[in-house]
Amino acid sequence: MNIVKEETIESRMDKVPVGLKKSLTQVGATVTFEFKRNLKNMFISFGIAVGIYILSLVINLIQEGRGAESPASAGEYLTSYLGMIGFFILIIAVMFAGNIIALDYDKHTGNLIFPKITKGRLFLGRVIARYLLSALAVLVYYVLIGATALIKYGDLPIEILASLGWAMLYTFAVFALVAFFSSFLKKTSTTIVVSLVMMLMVFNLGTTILMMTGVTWEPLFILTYYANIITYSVGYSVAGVFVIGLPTERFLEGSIGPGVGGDGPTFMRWITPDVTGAIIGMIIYSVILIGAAYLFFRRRQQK
Amino acid sequence: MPQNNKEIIINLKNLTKRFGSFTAVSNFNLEIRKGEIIGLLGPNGAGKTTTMKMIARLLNPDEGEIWIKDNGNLELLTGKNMVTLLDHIGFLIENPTFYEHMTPRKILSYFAILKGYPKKKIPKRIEEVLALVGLTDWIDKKVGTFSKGMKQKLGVVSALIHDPDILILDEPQTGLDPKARRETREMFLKLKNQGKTIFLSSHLLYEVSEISDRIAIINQGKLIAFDTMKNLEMASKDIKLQIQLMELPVDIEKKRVELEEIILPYTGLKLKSKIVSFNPELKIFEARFNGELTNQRKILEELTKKEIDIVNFSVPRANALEDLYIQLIAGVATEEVAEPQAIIKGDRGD
Ligand SMILES: Nc1ncnc2c1ncn2[C@@H]1O[C@H](COP(=O)(O)OP(=O)(O)OP(=O)(O)O)[C@@H](O)[C@H]1O
Ligand SMILES: [Mg+2]
Repeated sequence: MNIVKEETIESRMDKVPVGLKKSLTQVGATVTFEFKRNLKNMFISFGIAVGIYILSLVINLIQEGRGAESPASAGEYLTSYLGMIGFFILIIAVMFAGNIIALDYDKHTGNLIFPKITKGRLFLGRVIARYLLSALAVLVYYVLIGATALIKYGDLPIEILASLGWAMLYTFAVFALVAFFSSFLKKTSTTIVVSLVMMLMVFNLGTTILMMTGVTWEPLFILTYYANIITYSVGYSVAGVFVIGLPTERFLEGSIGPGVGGDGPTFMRWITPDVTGAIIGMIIYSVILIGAAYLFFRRRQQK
Repeated sequence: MPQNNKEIIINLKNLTKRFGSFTAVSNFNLEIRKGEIIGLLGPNGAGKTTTMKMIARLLNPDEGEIWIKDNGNLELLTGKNMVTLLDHIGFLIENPTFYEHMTPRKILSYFAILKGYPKKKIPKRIEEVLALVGLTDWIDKKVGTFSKGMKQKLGVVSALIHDPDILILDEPQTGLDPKARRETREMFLKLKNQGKTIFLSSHLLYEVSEISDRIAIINQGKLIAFDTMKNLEMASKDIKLQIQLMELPVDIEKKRVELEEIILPYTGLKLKSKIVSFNPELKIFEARFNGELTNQRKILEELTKKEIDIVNFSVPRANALEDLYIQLIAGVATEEVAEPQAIIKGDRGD
């Protein structure tokens, strides 16, 4: 009996990398595999980046063609390209995280993969690979708009890097939200629809309700609110003058109705979180959602 | 039986799985010994896939235990140790689906690395196993373009890519053409000769009867028989002997009665009539008997003595078991009999 035991252990030792090394190998293999698997999506995401860039460029050109003054500074010019960044990031996150878990259950691919690797390692590898791909698409967009501003103005405000950083963090938070839905919804398509509805409607509705009810606390629990800091970190306009950097006055009061200072009901609006609020808020959002996604995934059984 | 001396490497004890109020697998017990091929036979919906999914931990059993040999000891499979315990098992569960945009080379290489197969040997190993199922030319083609049978072959191959000691294959032959079926059967036998243990399921008897050392019959979630082919046949005690005559008689009924009179004393059955019947499809006579070789010889002797012009005299093995299979399944369906338990042979037996 003893002899048999030793033999088996030994023969396994040279066959299977043990412990930590094995985990790393498996996570690494998963990252590589996921890169290959999402190669096509990667090119599509680049395409979307280019598409949104061209759209913004054309809008800018049309406005200039109509005789509108072009922005005085590169910073202001950049913000005109960041108007759709939140939407762009949403599309990217949905593309890369939508099927991160649901697909294996919907299409039964999980039958092949699960006994081979723990769900924790698989999830980790997938999150790393797919987040990197999402971030890459965002980076491509920034390179495009940065290069355009650089060509047009001959210089770039350093704040574009801050904006890029916020965009990366926001990408992860949105990615986590989509992954969370993917962990318990039946299909990839449902995941995508629910994520879009959540981001485009539910959060907006929440913001509107807050505005209407006139509460003054900052909407830090509304994920889409954090997208604002991506644009505002570059700068903002006050009375037609562009100021570089985050606004200090982040809370606006106004009124709805015709004309400036109309006589409709007043509303209050938070325009952007501050640095601390954004970091803490997005990290909390990401950790909770990714953690919940993992827990749901772990408990989920193959049907 | 020599295999009774071999060590048990998988032991299923009282496995039960419910989906809501429906019990898909009920108190399922099975011992799998090293180096044997076990066929899990059962009709659609019997619980074969559910049983295998529980071993793969794709489903957690509601009751019961799964013990798997690791480093010389049987260990209880839990969520914690599943990775180590399942490491030397290759699984194919249900009709495999792959990531459509990927190629066999990429998929198999990923699986091989996950399973810790030596990295340097992976490319060669992939080519080897794909050659086994004739997919060499498809190594770099996207799986999305594969036919159903090709995906099935890739599924079988993905279970053995890391050269596991145990293979658990859920209907590995589904969707394969006759040639591929034979080739996979030969492949399983070859693997067995290399010392591998194979547990495979099917709803078709002939797929398992030719290669399995022992057959477990499952129906409505219950194990209703588990034994060698030979013992199962004996147990059925109602085996059909096929008798083909030189020429079809004009009066078939008259011939049937004549044959029945000759055979009746030697059937070994209590039945005193309706022993011989005519099978109009095959155009042959069929006689029921207990399957004992001595009876079979005696019947043949008597028939020749009486100068019946037989051209073919045989006991199709699969058919006999096929009947038993259907009989057992029907039994459970109608009467909930506990009786077939009699044919379940544990390791204690002979
Ligand atoms: N996820 C599930 N939810 C509810 N019922 C299920 C589920 N999976 C299986 N069942 C039921 O459990 C029973 C056994 O199913 P299982 O897939 O194990 O059968 P099988 O023997 O593999 O059949 P087949 O030969 O058709 O593959 C069936 O009646 C099936 O309807
Ligand atoms: Mg099945």
